[in-house]
Parts: sequence; structure tokens; C-alpha cells
Amino acid sequence: MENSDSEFAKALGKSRLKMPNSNFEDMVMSKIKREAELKSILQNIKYAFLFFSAFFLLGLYITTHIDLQKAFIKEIPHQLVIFQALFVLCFLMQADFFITIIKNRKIKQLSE
Amino acid sequence: MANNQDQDLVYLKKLKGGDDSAFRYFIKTYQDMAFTIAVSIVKDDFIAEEVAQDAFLKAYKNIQLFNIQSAFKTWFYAIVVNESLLRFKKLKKDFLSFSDTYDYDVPDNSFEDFSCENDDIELINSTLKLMLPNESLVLRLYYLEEGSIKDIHTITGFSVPNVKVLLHRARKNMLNILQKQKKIKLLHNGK
Repeated sequence: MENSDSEFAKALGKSRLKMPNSNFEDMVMSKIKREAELKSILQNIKYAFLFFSAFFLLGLYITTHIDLQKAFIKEIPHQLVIFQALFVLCFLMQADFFITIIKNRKIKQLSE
Repeated sequence: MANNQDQDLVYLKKLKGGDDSAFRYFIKTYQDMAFTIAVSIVKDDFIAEEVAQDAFLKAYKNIQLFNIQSAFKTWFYAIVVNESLLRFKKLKKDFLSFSDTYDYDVPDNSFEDFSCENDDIELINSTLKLMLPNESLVLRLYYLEEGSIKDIHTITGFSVPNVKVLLHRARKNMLNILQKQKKIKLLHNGK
């Protein structure tokens, strides 16, 4: 019994399969490299989003904090109008940029 | 074995230190066994290769969570088993409808007649492919890796008594299928 069991073990010891793809190692390594790159991109996007949110709030604060009710439209300083226009323009551009990123499938998958 | 573990430790430290190329060592060392485990469960070479790839990626992503005191091999094989089972569930394939019948007609003393020649490796592998996933998995882990029942319990999550029962049943079933396969082979050769 013991003898035949060792025979059985010997036979099964040969049942290790070889990876059929000889490029397997390189394939996995390139996937890992890509994954690392995407991870760093995601990290950058997170920072970008953080700064975007922070400066959006700051911009909102600046534009709304100035008491406009006390001033007549004609008396609104020229610089303030320019600032507000620039703020809206920047906001729209950045919002469009973020929507494009959020819609990106690869980044969506990575963040999951 | 201990030597291998020491080497694992060296590369693990490199990897945890940020040297991604150290992961190449783990791929080189464990790719065949990862593939073998995956084939035992999913029963398809192409899918098994994908599963092995996913398992390596998962291991890489979670390497920082791995406790350096434990054996990398056991931890990694558990990942391969999990990935394979997930894929197997996704495939929802109904393997081997004849599995209910081949279980019972093999006597316990059938090991006494067992002998296997070198050219039977293909036959053994095709037999393992025909077996139920949990049985072929337990057999391979036990005999290929010289794993203890406790190791198999850690890798698969099956309880220790369950592993023992599975091993016993798997040996019997394997012998039965092997005998049938041999008969078919002989018939083919006779023609």
C-alpha cells in the first residue's frame, strides 16, 4: 500500500504544467508598469481635483464677499469684472477637463 | 524549500523597498505552479493563463499588505485559488456530469495496483482535467508542493477534515478515471 501510494505521489509529482506562453513574464511586467503609470496619473488627477475645488471655493468667496449691493453697477471696479469673467472661463474649462477625465473608462476602472 | 523561502524574503524586501523589477523573480518562480493551480480549477489553458496573470497583478497590488513573516508561496497560492474560483463561478460551467457515478465503484485497496510509467504524464494531466476542480486542486497541492493538510487548508479555505476527505475521495476518483482512460487508450492502440 505504502509502495503504491509513493508510486501515486511520484506520478502526480510530474503533473506540474508548464506555462504555455513563453512571454508570460514580460507580459505581466509590462502590465505592472502600465498599472504603476496609471496609478501615478490617478494620483495627479486627485491633486488636480483637490486644487480645483479649493480654488473654486476661494474664487466663489472672493466674488461673493465683496459687497456689491452698496455699489452701483457703474461703480463696480473694472478689475473685478475682469476677475469674474476669468474665473467663470477657468471654471468652465476645468469643469470640461474633469468631465472628460471622469468619463474616461480606463481611469474609471483603475479607480474601482 | 527553506532556501527558496529565504530567496523569497530577499526579493520581498527589495519589492517593498520600491524595486518593482524584483517582482520578476516571483513571476519566474511561481508562474508554472500558478498556471497548474488555475488549470485544476478552470480546466482551460487559455483562461488559466489569464487567471495566473490576474493573480500576479493582485499580488503586486497587495504586496504592501503582505506580512513578511509568512510564506509568500502560501499567500500567493491562496490568491490564485481565489481568482480561479471567481473565474470559475463567472463561467458557470457544469463540469463532468458523470462525476456522481465514478465515485463509488473503486475499492479502497485500488492503490495496491497502481503503477505509472513516465510516458503517462499526459494521461495523468488529462485525467486531472476531467476531475472535479476541488479534487484536482487538492491532489496537486498535496503531491506537487508536498504541502501539508494545514497548508492546503490555508490556501483553499476548506476545513482540515474536509481536506482529508477530499484527498481520499480524489485519489479514488483519479484512479478510476485513469483506469478508464487507459482502457480507452488500449482500445485505440488495438485498432
